Amino acid sequence: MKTIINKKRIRIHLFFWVIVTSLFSGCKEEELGNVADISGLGGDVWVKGPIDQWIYDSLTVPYNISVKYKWDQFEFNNLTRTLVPADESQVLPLLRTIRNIWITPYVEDAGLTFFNKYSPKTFVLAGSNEYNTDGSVTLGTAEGGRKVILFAVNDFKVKGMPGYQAADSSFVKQWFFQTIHHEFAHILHQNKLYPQEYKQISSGLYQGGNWINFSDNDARKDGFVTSYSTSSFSEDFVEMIAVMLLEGKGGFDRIVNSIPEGNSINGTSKAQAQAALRTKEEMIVSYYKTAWNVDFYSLQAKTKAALTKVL
Amino acid sequence: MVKRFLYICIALSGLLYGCANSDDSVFEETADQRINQALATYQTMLTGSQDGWDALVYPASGGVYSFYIRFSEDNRVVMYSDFDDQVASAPKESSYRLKAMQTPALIFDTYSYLHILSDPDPDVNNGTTGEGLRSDFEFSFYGDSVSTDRIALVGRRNKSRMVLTRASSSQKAAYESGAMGKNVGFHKIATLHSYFKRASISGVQYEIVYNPAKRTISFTWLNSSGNLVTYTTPYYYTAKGLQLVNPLMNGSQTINQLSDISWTESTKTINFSVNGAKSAIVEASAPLKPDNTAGRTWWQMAVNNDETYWVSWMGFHINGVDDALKVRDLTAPQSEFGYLLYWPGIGSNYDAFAPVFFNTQEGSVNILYGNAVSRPVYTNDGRVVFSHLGTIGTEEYPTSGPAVESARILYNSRGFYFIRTSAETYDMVSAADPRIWISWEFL
Repeated sequence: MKTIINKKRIRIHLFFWVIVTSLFSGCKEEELGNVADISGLGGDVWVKGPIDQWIYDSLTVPYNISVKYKWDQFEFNNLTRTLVPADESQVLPLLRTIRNIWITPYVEDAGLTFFNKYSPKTFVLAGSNEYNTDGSVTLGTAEGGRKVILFAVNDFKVKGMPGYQAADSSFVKQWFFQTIHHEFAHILHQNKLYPQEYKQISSGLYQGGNWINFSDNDARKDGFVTSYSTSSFSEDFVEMIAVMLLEGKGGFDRIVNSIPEGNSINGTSKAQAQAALRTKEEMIVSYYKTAWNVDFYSLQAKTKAALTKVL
Repeated sequence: MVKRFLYICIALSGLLYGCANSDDSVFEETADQRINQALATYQTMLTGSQDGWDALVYPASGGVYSFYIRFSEDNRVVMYSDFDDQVASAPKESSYRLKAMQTPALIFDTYSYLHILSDPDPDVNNGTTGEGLRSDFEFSFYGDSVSTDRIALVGRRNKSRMVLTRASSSQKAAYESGAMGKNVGFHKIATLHSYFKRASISGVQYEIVYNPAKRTISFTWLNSSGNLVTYTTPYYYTAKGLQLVNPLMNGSQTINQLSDISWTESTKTINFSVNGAKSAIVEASAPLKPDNTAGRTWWQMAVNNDETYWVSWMGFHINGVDDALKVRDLTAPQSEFGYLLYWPGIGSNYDAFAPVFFNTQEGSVNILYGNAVSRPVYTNDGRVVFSHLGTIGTEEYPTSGPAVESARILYNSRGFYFIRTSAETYDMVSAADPRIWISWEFL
């Protein structure tokens, strides 16, 4: 059978579809608006003041660190919590102290490249504590090594600030300095693992979520530097680092030496507890040398010296 | 035929659909341009008032708080607040910015006096832990409530309201000279130790109760029929005085404001003026008109309900000191002090007045020793007199100490005035000395 192709028919069909296609697509698409008009696209804008200038000169330029001290609701994870912004008069005293007890010692002993590579790039400040429904408050939080939130900035007090009393020092040390050193130590071991042997030192004595039922004194009897240390291997690792740096050699020695006689409730003897703490100390010092080429005791001395100036 | 019809249909729909995207917007400018314009306009309006703004803030927890706020172009803001006399007289500078959020928004983005209301720390504002007074520091603009002289804003978090009213240069000068600070000194009324505080305003005696925790003030007076009338209104302070949110109207007299408040240390008086006429708060020793029924109702309420009585957590307040006799320091074996108790009708011919202890070991509540008090006597001038019948309890009645001292006050021969402060609370004020009273709660 011969198939007859009707050329005229094809031409009409083709012509028809060309028309239809061009009609459907031919009208001008809406133009993309002027992107520069979008409000707040590059971040909120305000007239810069002395605080902004100091942050830029002292943190952003040398270390690529930015600090959000002006209120932005969306920097906080839990929108149901009532928070208030930082008081301007608190910002620079806090940031200067953070630089002195964390940035400067690490930069001197581990190098600028190291510090810039591993430090969190954004700090967010909240004036008040974050109160949880169970009545507890949240210590600072850290996100993926990039962002650190510090709470209770309006309660920050060091020597030279109005209203400072010696009794403030343990709160300030724990709330601000311990948090930063603790979080930074996590970043370090997440980039270069600590040795597996560390996990053997106190094996069987870790408490997990039950850490909250122990005091620091109880934990020390078991060979842990703080009760939070007992929650996991990694927390143990970073709490040791934070405490050693902030207490200094003398302070840490005092902690180890003041473990009381007798056994802990888990049956750990004083000698075992002290040995555990010393072994952990050695491993950390060795880790810093091997992984980062840092003299830990030098870093410790510098950190402690800077801390003593302010608390 | 049908096919051709179909083709025409498709072609036509192509025509219509293809050109449906005409630029048919209601506005000339894009949404972004309009947002930017709104932000710029609002900023200009805020900073355009060179003499700043009077601000009233209504937090979700109630009451109204007054501020003076001045915005400048470089994102700086200066404030005074009526929260206490320190923040009413010393200005505080902080920052603000405008931002496009779901609505154009005004954000007070560093800590200021305004944030005192929002602070979740209860030590700052006596509010709820974790919530503060449920106020706001981020506010939405709504175009229909913005004008050159008045801007009304709504808080983003708690929907509290902020109303800004353009201030004049004389108001600005008044704030800067500490006028609001002086007016907030009215709270020194708490240092007047008598329970009864009175002022004579345009010939009428008013008894005044100031409640800074609730931010309300109450006036009580005798009307033309000789009956007591009480009027309560929220208040706030300005550079001019204490402003009554709802004016008090008494016959031909209207009180809007207690103006030009000052404190005279030597005489311990609070001076002010109302509608130009000078007045002062002074201490009185009796209520304007004693409530003859209050004492009876208080007594009867506990008797009418089984196993109910009146408790006082803080014991006697004397000369400005709560628990002046230190009953809260009383101890007993394995026990903590709970409250002072008055139990009407516990005995066939006596009531009980005793300290109550919580035994923490056994979890029990006990009267170890106390007083049997004769049925109270009601005088016809509104006083209630208590007298001693004997002692009760398993333990020896002490010879001295807070319990003994408390009983001695109870047995004062002049007795007490009763003031009902709410459905289940009463204050009992010594008729002999109005600086002594005790607060009862129904349990």
